[in-house]
Amino acid sequence: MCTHDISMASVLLSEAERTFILHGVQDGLRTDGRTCEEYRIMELQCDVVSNTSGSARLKMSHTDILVGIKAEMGTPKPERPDEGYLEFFVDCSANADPEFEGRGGGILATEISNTIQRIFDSKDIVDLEKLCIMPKETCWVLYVDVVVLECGGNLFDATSVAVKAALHNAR
Amino acid sequence: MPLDSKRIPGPRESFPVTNFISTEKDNPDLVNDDGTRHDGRKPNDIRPIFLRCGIISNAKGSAYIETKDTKVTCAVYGPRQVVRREDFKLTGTLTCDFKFATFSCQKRQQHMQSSNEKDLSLIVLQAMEPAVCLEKYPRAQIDIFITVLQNGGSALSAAITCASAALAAAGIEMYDVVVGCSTRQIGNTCLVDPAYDEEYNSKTGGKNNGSLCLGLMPSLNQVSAFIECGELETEILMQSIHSCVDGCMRIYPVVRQCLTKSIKSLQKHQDGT
Repeated sequence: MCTHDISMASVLLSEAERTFILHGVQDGLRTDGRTCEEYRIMELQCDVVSNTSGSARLKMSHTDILVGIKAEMGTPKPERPDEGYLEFFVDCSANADPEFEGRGGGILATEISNTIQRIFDSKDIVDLEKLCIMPKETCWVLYVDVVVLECGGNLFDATSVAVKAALHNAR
Repeated sequence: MPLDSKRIPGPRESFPVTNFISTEKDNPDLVNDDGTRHDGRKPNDIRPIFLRCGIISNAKGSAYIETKDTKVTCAVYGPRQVVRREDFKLTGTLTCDFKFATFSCQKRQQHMQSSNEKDLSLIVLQAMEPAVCLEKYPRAQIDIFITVLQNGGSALSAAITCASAALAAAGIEMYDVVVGCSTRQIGNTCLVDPAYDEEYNSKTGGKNNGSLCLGLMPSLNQVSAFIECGELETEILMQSIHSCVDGCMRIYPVVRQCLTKSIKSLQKHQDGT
């Protein structure tokens, strides 16, 4: 069962504030001075967590995402015996928003995790056959764990960039 | 996996037999030389649709859709009081529960909702939300329950169409119905309404390998759901979207016909009693 009211950290706006923002957007200007098509500046750091095979941290004004990749050996999936696989997990930590405490962040986390899984489910992004050690017996499993440290909007873009960087960083 | 206490336990580790069957098909290409697909359709053809409302008597509204091998049923309950008092809002709440029946896919599904099913629930919810007039139902909750009885391909788009029909049959006020359609893109060919073996597979390499699912509100000409998997170039993606919209417009008359038929039979029933 899922309800859609708590999707991102909800901000309560007065009617006047809403009109102000809408008028600004019609003129091509957003509240922080950007144009409609401008991105915020991203800061990307790789290799931030020493216990992982690869990691990345992305900061984009108020959004902070940390990705860690751990490689473990496991059995390949029966329908793909000569490939390894990736497992994605997203954790919206309670630091990001008090609404995420306990089960609150679960729905958003599932949504991001599934979207990332769909994005990275392509031959050209990660060559899964290289992750195979012995067909049908062992393979590398890459556990990609994403922690949302701060939720400042545009989580999908930030998470996908951070995961890509972490995968690149993984040895 | 949590142990299922309702079942007499069999062997702990079990896997489907299909893993051992060779998956080499005689024709690995999805489109034959004469331009037809495996089931004889042209790339632009959608499968014939059977849509019927009012199949679950207990539900406020219900619908059943069948397109060749894909069978989806949907029940709508509500508007009723919100289950949790904390969710007291001035606009209505829409919830959606999507579940594959355990026997529906080639691989046996689990009883508990997997994360894929949770994701699909969210997608259908996001598709239906713009269409329902939630301001007309303050402090109320409308529940949509979707069960896929057999997954023969394009289950998500069938579910979206079915959910709209069920909501309309339940008498929930809506701005428009939402019609779902999927396509599969391989290279330059666009296959509308893919069957199970035509669905997106990341193993098939090559450029422009992807699939698309679109939820369209036909009268308002607005897209309310858009899910894409795989890699597609921008122009190919635009063509795919146009094929999807065409497919939706072809399915729309079927939905209208089904709803008018259900209203007429309801009227006849009321006049008869």
